[in-house]
Amino acid sequence: MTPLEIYSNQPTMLGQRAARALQCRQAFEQQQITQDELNALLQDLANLDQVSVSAEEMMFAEAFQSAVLGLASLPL
Amino acid sequence: MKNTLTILLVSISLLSGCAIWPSHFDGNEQAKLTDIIELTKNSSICDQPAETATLSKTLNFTAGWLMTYGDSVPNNSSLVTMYNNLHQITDEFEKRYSDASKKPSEFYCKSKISNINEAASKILIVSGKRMRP
Repeated sequence: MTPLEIYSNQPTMLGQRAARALQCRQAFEQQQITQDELNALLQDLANLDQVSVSAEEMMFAEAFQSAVLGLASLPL
Repeated sequence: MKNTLTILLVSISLLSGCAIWPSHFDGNEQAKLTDIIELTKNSSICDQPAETATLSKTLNFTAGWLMTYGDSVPNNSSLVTMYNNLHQITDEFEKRYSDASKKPSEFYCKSKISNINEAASKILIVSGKRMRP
């Protein structure tokens, strides 16, 4: 298996990101994109990671809020 | 018991500056995010550089709109961070297409549109799950 196949088969976000980075690298090596474009696409992957982290934090906060408000509304 | 919980809630909110409480659902933000997702569903536009340049401007304008609008909503810092990441992706896209001397590659264009769609889709999911006021 190639590194791209190994990472593409990973169900985790990290594995998928690595696969995307490898695809970009391969595109550069095959001269489908310039170095400048490669850098821009790798920067995009970093931004996508940050979006994922912030999204998880926000979903946790939302779940926490629902749990606390649900607890507070119990007829104690 | 209930009073204890109320005190606990107020204490948590005050200590954290309410940062742990996400803002309420906002239909304006949801609509703009949906626009971005719909505009980036198909990357076949990459065959037409002039149309792609127009699309990149529209996407960057909308991402900028989200940053400005989102920043004006109280307790919205998590989403503003995400809008900032989205805007960085769209801004680079627009800048590259605004330079007439460069002809961006098809791989770059398709990847960029896919990245914008992915970022907006993720933000839309968390934005849609916010509590309704």
